[in-house]
Amino acid sequence: MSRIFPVFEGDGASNLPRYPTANDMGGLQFEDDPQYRPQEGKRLRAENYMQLIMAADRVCRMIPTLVVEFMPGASPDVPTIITVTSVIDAITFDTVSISRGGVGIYRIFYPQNALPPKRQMAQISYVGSTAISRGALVNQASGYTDVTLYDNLGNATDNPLFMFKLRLFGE
Amino acid sequence: MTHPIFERNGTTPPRRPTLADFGGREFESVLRYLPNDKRRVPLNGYLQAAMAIDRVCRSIPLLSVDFQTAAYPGTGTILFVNSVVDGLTSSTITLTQAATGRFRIAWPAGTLPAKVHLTDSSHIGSLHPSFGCFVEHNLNNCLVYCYTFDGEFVNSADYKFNITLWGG
Repeated sequence: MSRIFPVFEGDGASNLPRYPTANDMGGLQFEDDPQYRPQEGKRLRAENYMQLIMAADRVCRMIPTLVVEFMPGASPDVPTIITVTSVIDAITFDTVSISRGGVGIYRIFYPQNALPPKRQMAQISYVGSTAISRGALVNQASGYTDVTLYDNLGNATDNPLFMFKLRLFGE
Repeated sequence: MTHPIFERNGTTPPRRPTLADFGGREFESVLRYLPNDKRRVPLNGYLQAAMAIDRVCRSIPLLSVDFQTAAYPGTGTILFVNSVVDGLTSSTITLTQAATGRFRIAWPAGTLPAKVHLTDSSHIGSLHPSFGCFVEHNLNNCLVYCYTFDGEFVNSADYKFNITLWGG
Protein backbone atom coordinates (compact mmCIF):
# COMPACT_ATOMS: atom_id res chain seq x y z
CA MET A 1 0.00 0.00 0.00
CA SER A 2 1.48 3.33 -1.01
CA ARG A 3 1.66 5.96 1.71
CA ILE A 4 0.30 9.45 1.41
CA PHE A 5 3.00 11.05 3.52
CA PRO A 6 6.65 11.21 2.51
CA VAL A 7 8.30 8.12 3.95
CA PHE A 8 11.45 10.18 4.55
CA GLU A 9 9.45 12.27 7.02
CA GLY A 10 7.09 9.77 8.60
CA ASP A 11 3.55 10.68 9.58
CA GLY A 12 4.29 12.16 12.98
CA ALA A 13 2.78 9.11 14.66
CA SER A 14 3.74 5.45 14.50
CA ASN A 15 5.38 5.70 11.10
CA LEU A 16 8.78 7.09 11.94
CA PRO A 17 11.03 8.78 9.39
CA ARG A 18 12.99 6.32 7.25
CA TYR A 19 14.45 5.93 3.81
CA PRO A 20 11.79 4.93 1.25
CA THR A 21 12.06 1.54 -0.41
CA ALA A 22 10.50 -0.08 -3.46
CA ASN A 23 7.76 -1.49 -1.24
CA ASP A 24 6.60 2.04 -0.48
CA MET A 25 6.22 2.62 -4.20
CA GLY A 26 4.01 -0.38 -4.83
CA GLY A 27 6.44 -3.26 -4.51
CA LEU A 28 8.09 -5.50 -7.07
CA GLN A 29 5.40 -8.08 -7.70
CA PHE A 30 3.70 -6.45 -10.66
CA GLU A 31 3.12 -8.33 -13.89
CA ASP A 32 1.67 -7.30 -17.21
CA ASP A 33 -2.13 -7.53 -17.28
CA PRO A 34 -3.05 -10.24 -19.83
CA GLN A 35 -6.20 -8.31 -20.78
CA TYR A 36 -4.40 -4.99 -21.27
CA ARG A 37 -0.99 -6.04 -22.48
CA PRO A 38 1.86 -3.53 -22.82
CA GLN A 39 1.56 -1.52 -25.97
CA GLU A 40 4.39 0.42 -27.53
CA GLY A 41 4.00 4.06 -26.64
CA LYS A 42 0.72 3.57 -24.86
CA ARG A 43 0.86 1.01 -22.09
CA LEU A 44 3.84 0.65 -19.87
CA ARG A 45 5.38 -2.72 -19.10
CA ALA A 46 5.24 -3.77 -15.48
CA GLU A 47 8.99 -4.21 -15.69
CA ASN A 48 9.48 -0.56 -16.64
CA TYR A 49 7.62 0.66 -13.61
CA MET A 50 9.47 -1.73 -11.33
CA GLN A 51 12.81 -0.60 -12.75
CA LEU A 52 11.83 2.96 -11.98
CA ILE A 53 10.99 2.23 -8.37
CA MET A 54 14.06 0.06 -7.87
CA ALA A 55 16.20 2.91 -9.18
CA ALA A 56 14.39 5.38 -6.93
CA ASP A 57 14.88 3.06 -3.95
CA ARG A 58 18.62 2.88 -4.55
CA VAL A 59 19.03 6.56 -5.26
CA CYS A 60 17.34 7.37 -1.97
CA ARG A 61 19.89 5.27 -0.07
CA MET A 62 22.82 7.31 -1.25
CA ILE A 63 21.73 10.91 -0.87
CA PRO A 64 22.41 13.06 2.17
CA THR A 65 19.24 13.83 4.10
CA LEU A 66 20.54 17.17 5.32
CA VAL A 67 23.26 19.47 4.00
CA VAL A 68 24.24 22.59 5.93
CA GLU A 69 26.86 25.13 4.96
CA PHE A 70 28.04 27.48 7.67
CA MET A 71 30.69 29.97 8.78
CA PRO A 72 32.23 30.08 12.26
CA GLY A 73 32.53 33.33 14.17
CA ALA A 74 33.44 34.48 17.67
CA SER A 75 32.24 37.76 19.15
CA PRO A 76 31.82 40.33 17.71
CA ASP A 77 31.22 38.05 14.72
CA VAL A 78 28.60 35.34 14.97
CA PRO A 79 28.48 31.87 13.44
CA THR A 80 26.24 31.86 10.43
CA ILE A 81 24.22 29.29 8.59
CA ILE A 82 24.63 29.91 4.86
CA THR A 83 22.51 27.27 3.15
CA VAL A 84 20.29 24.38 4.17
CA THR A 85 18.87 21.63 1.98
CA SER A 86 17.07 18.55 3.20
CA VAL A 87 14.75 15.76 2.16
CA ILE A 88 12.61 16.77 5.14
CA ASP A 89 10.26 19.69 4.48
CA ALA A 90 10.37 20.77 8.13
CA ILE A 91 14.13 21.15 8.09
CA THR A 92 14.75 24.53 6.57
CA PHE A 93 16.91 27.57 7.00
CA ASP A 94 14.50 28.65 9.73
CA THR A 95 14.71 25.43 11.74
CA VAL A 96 18.46 24.89 11.61
CA SER A 97 20.67 26.92 13.94
CA ILE A 98 24.26 27.08 15.08
CA SER A 99 25.87 27.92 18.41
CA ARG A 100 29.46 28.31 19.56
CA GLY A 101 30.74 26.32 22.52
CA GLY A 102 34.36 27.45 22.55
CA VAL A 103 37.18 28.19 20.17
CA GLY A 104 36.47 26.24 17.01
CA ILE A 105 33.68 24.29 18.68
CA TYR A 106 30.24 24.61 17.14
CA ARG A 107 26.93 22.80 17.48
CA ILE A 108 24.47 22.66 14.62
CA PHE A 109 20.89 22.08 15.68
CA TYR A 110 18.01 20.67 13.64
CA PRO A 111 14.63 19.25 14.63
CA GLN A 112 15.11 16.14 16.75
CA ASN A 113 13.85 12.81 15.39
CA ALA A 114 13.00 14.40 12.07
CA LEU A 115 15.65 12.52 10.11
CA PRO A 116 15.57 8.80 9.26
CA PRO A 117 18.02 6.40 10.95
CA LYS A 118 21.62 6.87 9.92
CA ARG A 119 22.88 4.90 6.90
CA GLN A 120 26.42 6.20 7.16
CA MET A 121 28.43 8.64 9.20
CA ALA A 122 28.22 12.40 8.91
CA GLN A 123 30.75 14.13 6.69
CA ILE A 124 32.19 17.59 6.93
CA SER A 125 34.31 19.32 4.35
CA TYR A 126 36.03 22.63 4.03
CA VAL A 127 34.54 24.67 1.19
CA GLY A 128 36.32 28.03 1.39
CA SER A 129 36.70 30.84 1.19
CA THR A 130 39.87 32.90 1.66
CA ALA A 131 41.77 30.95 4.30
CA ILE A 132 43.03 27.39 4.30
CA SER A 133 41.82 24.71 6.67
CA ARG A 134 43.34 21.39 7.51
CA GLY A 135 40.06 19.84 8.41
CA ALA A 136 37.37 19.41 10.99
CA LEU A 137 35.98 16.82 13.31
CA VAL A 138 32.36 15.88 13.54
CA ASN A 139 30.34 14.11 16.20
CA GLN A 140 26.70 13.38 15.55
CA ALA A 141 23.88 13.10 18.07
CA SER A 142 20.09 13.22 17.90
CA GLY A 143 18.96 16.72 17.01
CA TYR A 144 22.42 18.20 16.71
CA THR A 145 25.92 17.65 15.42
CA ASP A 146 29.09 18.95 17.03
CA VAL A 147 31.96 20.06 14.86
CA THR A 148 35.46 21.24 15.68
CA LEU A 149 37.13 23.41 13.09
CA TYR A 150 40.86 23.77 12.47
CA ASP A 151 43.01 26.16 10.54
CA ASN A 152 46.01 25.20 8.46
CA LEU A 153 48.28 25.14 11.52
CA GLY A 154 46.04 22.77 13.40
CA ASN A 155 44.67 25.38 15.75
CA ALA A 156 40.98 25.39 16.51
CA THR A 157 39.56 28.36 14.72
CA ASP A 158 36.68 30.82 14.81
CA ASN A 159 37.89 32.59 11.71
CA PRO A 160 34.78 33.73 9.81
CA LEU A 161 36.72 33.48 6.56
CA PHE A 162 36.23 29.74 6.70
CA MET A 163 33.18 27.96 5.38
CA PHE A 164 32.31 24.34 5.94
CA LYS A 165 29.74 21.93 4.60
CA LEU A 166 28.12 19.32 6.80
CA ARG A 167 26.33 16.33 5.27
CA LEU A 168 24.13 14.02 7.30
CA PHE A 169 22.89 10.64 6.07
CA GLY A 170 20.23 10.22 8.71
CA GLU A 171 20.72 10.57 12.44
CA MET B 1 10.59 -10.36 -10.86
CA THR B 2 13.01 -8.33 -12.88
CA HIS B 3 16.51 -7.63 -11.61
CA PRO B 4 17.81 -4.18 -10.55
CA ILE B 5 19.85 -2.64 -13.36
CA PHE B 6 22.42 -1.43 -10.83
CA GLU B 7 23.26 -5.06 -10.08
CA ARG B 8 24.88 -7.85 -12.07
CA ASN B 9 22.45 -10.41 -13.50
CA GLY B 10 24.23 -13.52 -14.67
CA THR B 11 26.43 -12.39 -17.53
CA THR B 12 24.74 -9.00 -17.81
CA PRO B 13 27.09 -6.50 -16.19
CA PRO B 14 25.78 -3.95 -13.70
CA ARG B 15 25.20 -0.41 -14.97
CA ARG B 16 23.38 2.77 -14.09
CA PRO B 17 19.70 2.71 -15.10
CA THR B 18 18.54 5.05 -17.85
CA LEU B 19 15.22 6.36 -19.07
CA ALA B 20 14.96 3.46 -21.55
CA ASP B 21 14.77 1.05 -18.62
CA PHE B 22 11.72 2.90 -17.39
CA GLY B 23 9.91 2.58 -20.70
CA GLY B 24 11.46 5.45 -22.65
CA ARG B 25 9.69 8.71 -23.39
CA GLU B 26 7.81 7.91 -26.58
CA PHE B 27 4.45 7.52 -24.90
CA GLU B 28 1.19 9.22 -25.64
CA SER B 29 -2.04 9.39 -23.68
CA VAL B 30 -4.68 6.88 -24.74
CA LEU B 31 -7.72 8.87 -25.83
CA ARG B 32 -10.14 6.37 -24.40
CA TYR B 33 -8.55 6.58 -20.97
CA LEU B 34 -7.45 10.15 -20.61
CA PRO B 35 -5.71 11.21 -17.40
CA ASN B 36 -8.06 11.75 -14.54
CA ASP B 37 -7.15 14.09 -11.74
CA LYS B 38 -7.63 11.50 -9.07
CA ARG B 39 -7.58 8.15 -10.78
CA ARG B 40 -5.14 8.10 -13.70
CA VAL B 41 -1.61 9.41 -13.59
CA PRO B 42 -1.02 11.87 -16.43
CA LEU B 43 1.51 10.66 -18.97
CA ASN B 44 3.60 13.73 -18.34
CA GLY B 45 3.66 12.94 -14.64
CA TYR B 46 5.12 9.49 -15.14
CA LEU B 47 7.63 10.69 -17.72
CA GLN B 48 8.79 13.55 -15.53
CA ALA B 49 9.29 11.16 -12.62
CA ALA B 50 11.19 8.75 -14.88
CA MET B 51 13.39 11.52 -16.31
CA ALA B 52 14.12 12.83 -12.84
CA ILE B 53 15.24 9.42 -11.62
CA ASP B 54 17.23 8.84 -14.82
CA ARG B 55 19.19 12.02 -14.20
CA VAL B 56 19.70 11.46 -10.51
CA CYS B 57 21.05 7.99 -11.29
CA ARG B 58 23.83 9.58 -13.33
CA SER B 59 25.28 11.50 -10.45
CA ILE B 60 24.95 9.46 -7.28
CA PRO B 61 27.79 7.52 -5.67
CA LEU B 62 27.35 3.74 -5.70
CA LEU B 63 29.22 2.64 -2.61
CA SER B 64 30.22 4.37 0.59
CA VAL B 65 32.32 2.75 3.30
CA ASP B 66 33.06 4.31 6.71
CA PHE B 67 35.88 2.67 8.62
CA GLN B 68 37.97 3.10 11.73
CA THR B 69 41.70 2.71 11.63
CA ALA B 70 43.87 0.48 13.85
CA ALA B 71 47.48 0.26 14.93
CA TYR B 72 49.42 -1.85 12.44
CA PRO B 73 49.05 -4.79 11.88
CA GLY B 74 45.43 -4.55 13.06
CA THR B 75 42.85 -4.65 10.33
CA GLY B 76 40.66 -1.73 11.34
CA THR B 77 36.88 -1.82 11.59
CA ILE B 78 34.17 -1.27 9.03
CA LEU B 79 31.53 1.01 10.55
CA PHE B 80 28.97 1.57 7.81
CA VAL B 81 28.49 0.27 4.26
CA ASN B 82 25.93 2.01 2.09
CA SER B 83 25.38 0.98 -1.51
CA VAL B 84 22.96 0.83 -4.42
CA VAL B 85 23.90 -2.85 -4.70
CA ASP B 86 22.09 -5.06 -2.21
CA GLY B 87 24.94 -7.57 -2.07
CA LEU B 88 27.47 -5.01 -0.89
CA THR B 89 27.27 -5.02 2.89
CA SER B 90 29.61 -5.15 5.86
CA SER B 91 29.65 -8.92 5.30
CA THR B 92 30.97 -8.74 1.75
CA ILE B 93 33.27 -5.73 1.99
CA THR B 94 36.66 -6.49 3.48
CA LEU B 95 39.08 -4.17 5.24
CA THR B 96 42.75 -4.97 5.73
CA GLN B 97 45.83 -2.95 6.59
CA ALA B 98 48.50 -3.45 3.95
CA ALA B 99 51.12 -1.39 5.78
CA THR B 100 51.01 1.21 8.52
CA GLY B 101 48.17 3.61 7.72
CA ARG B 102 47.45 2.03 4.34
CA PHE B 103 44.06 0.38 4.40
CA ARG B 104 42.69 -1.78 1.62
CA ILE B 105 38.94 -1.97 1.08
CA ALA B 106 37.83 -4.70 -1.30
CA TRP B 107 34.48 -5.62 -2.80
CA PRO B 108 33.42 -8.61 -4.90
CA ALA B 109 34.69 -8.14 -8.45
CA GLY B 110 32.12 -7.19 -11.06
CA THR B 111 29.45 -6.08 -8.62
CA LEU B 112 29.58 -2.35 -9.33
CA PRO B 113 28.68 -0.47 -12.51
CA ALA B 114 31.47 1.23 -14.44
CA LYS B 115 33.20 4.14 -12.77
CA VAL B 116 32.06 7.64 -13.78
CA HIS B 117 34.20 9.63 -11.35
CA LEU B 118 37.35 9.12 -9.36
CA THR B 119 36.94 7.73 -5.86
CA ASP B 120 36.60 10.18 -2.98
CA SER B 121 38.21 9.69 0.39
CA SER B 122 37.82 11.87 3.44
CA HIS B 123 38.54 12.05 7.13
CA ILE B 124 35.31 11.85 9.14
CA GLY B 125 36.54 11.77 12.73
CA SER B 126 36.93 10.88 15.48
CA LEU B 127 39.51 12.01 18.08
CA HIS B 128 42.04 14.04 16.15
CA PRO B 129 42.11 16.15 13.03
CA SER B 130 43.88 14.61 10.07
CA PHE B 131 46.07 15.92 7.31
CA GLY B 132 43.73 13.92 5.08
CA CYS B 133 43.93 10.83 2.97
CA PHE B 134 44.08 9.82 -0.62
CA VAL B 135 42.93 6.75 -2.40
CA GLU B 136 44.29 4.50 -5.11
CA HIS B 137 41.45 2.80 -6.98
CA ASN B 138 42.11 -0.69 -8.34
CA LEU B 139 39.98 -3.29 -10.08
CA ASN B 140 38.02 -4.49 -7.07
CA ASN B 141 39.67 -2.66 -4.21
CA CYS B 142 40.88 0.70 -3.00
CA LEU B 143 44.05 1.43 -1.11
CA VAL B 144 43.49 4.36 1.23
CA TYR B 145 46.53 6.25 2.55
CA CYS B 146 45.51 7.70 5.92
CA TYR B 147 47.49 10.47 7.57
CA THR B 148 47.67 12.09 10.98
CA PHE B 149 47.57 15.83 11.30
CA ASP B 150 51.36 15.92 11.07
CA GLY B 151 51.41 14.01 7.83
CA GLU B 152 52.54 10.72 9.34
CA PHE B 153 50.76 7.50 8.51
CA VAL B 154 48.00 6.75 10.99
CA ASN B 155 48.99 4.05 13.46
CA SER B 156 46.18 3.96 16.01
CA ALA B 157 42.45 3.47 16.30
CA ASP B 158 41.80 7.18 16.74
CA TYR B 159 40.73 8.00 13.20
CA LYS B 160 37.76 7.36 10.95
CA PHE B 161 37.70 7.73 7.21
CA ASN B 162 35.21 7.37 4.40
CA ILE B 163 35.61 6.29 0.82
CA THR B 164 32.92 6.99 -1.72
CA LEU B 165 32.93 5.13 -5.02
CA TRP B 166 31.25 6.20 -8.24
CA GLY B 167 31.65 2.81 -9.86
CA GLY B 168 33.92 -0.21 -9.77
